Amino acid sequence: MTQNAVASPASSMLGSLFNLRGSSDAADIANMTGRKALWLRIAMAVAMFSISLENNHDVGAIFNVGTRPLALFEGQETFVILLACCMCLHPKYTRMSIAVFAVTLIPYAPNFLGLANHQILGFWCILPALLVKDWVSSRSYATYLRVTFGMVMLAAFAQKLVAGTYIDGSYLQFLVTNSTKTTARWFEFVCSSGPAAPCLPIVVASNFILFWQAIVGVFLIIGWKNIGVLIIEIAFLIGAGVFADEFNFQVLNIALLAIVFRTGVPIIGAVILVIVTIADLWGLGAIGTQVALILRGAG
Amino acid sequence: MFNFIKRPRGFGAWAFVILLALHSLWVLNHLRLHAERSINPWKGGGYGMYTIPAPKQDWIVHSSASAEMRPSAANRKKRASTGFLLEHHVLANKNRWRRCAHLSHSSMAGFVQANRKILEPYIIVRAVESVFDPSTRKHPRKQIGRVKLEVRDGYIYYVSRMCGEEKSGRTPLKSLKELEG
Repeated sequence: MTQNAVASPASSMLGSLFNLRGSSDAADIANMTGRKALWLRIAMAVAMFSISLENNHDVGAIFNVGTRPLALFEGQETFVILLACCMCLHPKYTRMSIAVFAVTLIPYAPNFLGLANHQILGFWCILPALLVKDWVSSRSYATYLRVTFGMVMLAAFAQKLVAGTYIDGSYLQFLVTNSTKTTARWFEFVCSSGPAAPCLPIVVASNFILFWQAIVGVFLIIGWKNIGVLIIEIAFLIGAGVFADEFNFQVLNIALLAIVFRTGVPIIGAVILVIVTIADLWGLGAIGTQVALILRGAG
Repeated sequence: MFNFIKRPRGFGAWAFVILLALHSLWVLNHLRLHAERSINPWKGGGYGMYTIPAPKQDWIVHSSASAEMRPSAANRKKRASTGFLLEHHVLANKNRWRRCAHLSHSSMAGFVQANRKILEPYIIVRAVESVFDPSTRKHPRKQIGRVKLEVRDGYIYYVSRMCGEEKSGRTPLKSLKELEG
């Protein structure tokens, strides 16, 4: 399946970040070597990293090791996952890294469905890479990831459709006017009608979200890997991440989509995604508030 | 498009087909459970995240010693540092996805161990749920369950009533080390 290059400035930026233009087609999937293979391994390492900090909500406990040395070992799986991330980058150890990553699931396996959703999705998507000899060049694994993502998108669409809260825009309105997330409230200006009823822009945005999920789900399942769709999807994920002030899920999605689309993630992209994942420990809203306070103090 | 589904070759391809089939069954089941209101739609895979305001379930502890008390934040943190079931299932309730599930025996044992001081002569734990009400724009708290725990002769005797379904029994009182092991 060939992929279309998109020439707009935005796509050009994303293109260089995620190697969109250099993406592969089905013909070379079985012969994945060199830089492209490295970028695919980086994508997998980023996907694993996005899960590593899930059980370390107490940021102070991680970094304030001077007063509490043992705090460093709370949530030990972080360090095992970091080891797996490093191993994943080397072609020789990339398969073993998945096994190391699998070890971190053991304590949580009895309550697998009670885990954070991006942990569930991460384990469900990453661990099956062990089933093939070389996941980097495996067409079966890429297809598995693609269909899994398509199913998740369609499932999310079905849930929203059944709840009816996106057709009438009521849930987005709730988020904008009632959410405790600072970033959701950044969008209050969109609607001047107040908290009572969703205004037209909210209803339109809400319906776009709903049907976009369905469209992407269908595209992924039928295997139409258009680069334009990937760019819109990444923009959509970033927008959702800002809105909900939750980025670790988006980082996981972006990294795994980079494997699905065979683009991989280059080093600069990985650095950005890692920074975003770490910043997510505090949240964009809290960081924005701190920056505003500092700027106000400086002013 | 679905080459490995049409002509699965080798163990890996067959395993992927089976995993996809299991996943699709779970997706349908999740939708059914959500419709029945027996799960928190935000949990169990995330398909229902950001669909409705997240229902928040919490546990309130009653004992003969005080009218209503909730374990302190410091206590919760202490429990979390042990990596112990209690934090997840009972107090913070972060990982609870089945709304009406009875507490597991290990959760009860952990809870009792962590709250021995307030367990005189018995303890009642109420499960409450807060769901956003658009008409009042508030999160009213509604009781959905209640568990009575009593320690006698090395056992925890319990009577649990969740979403109208009652269950009673006993479980051995275990030490923290046994629970963690």
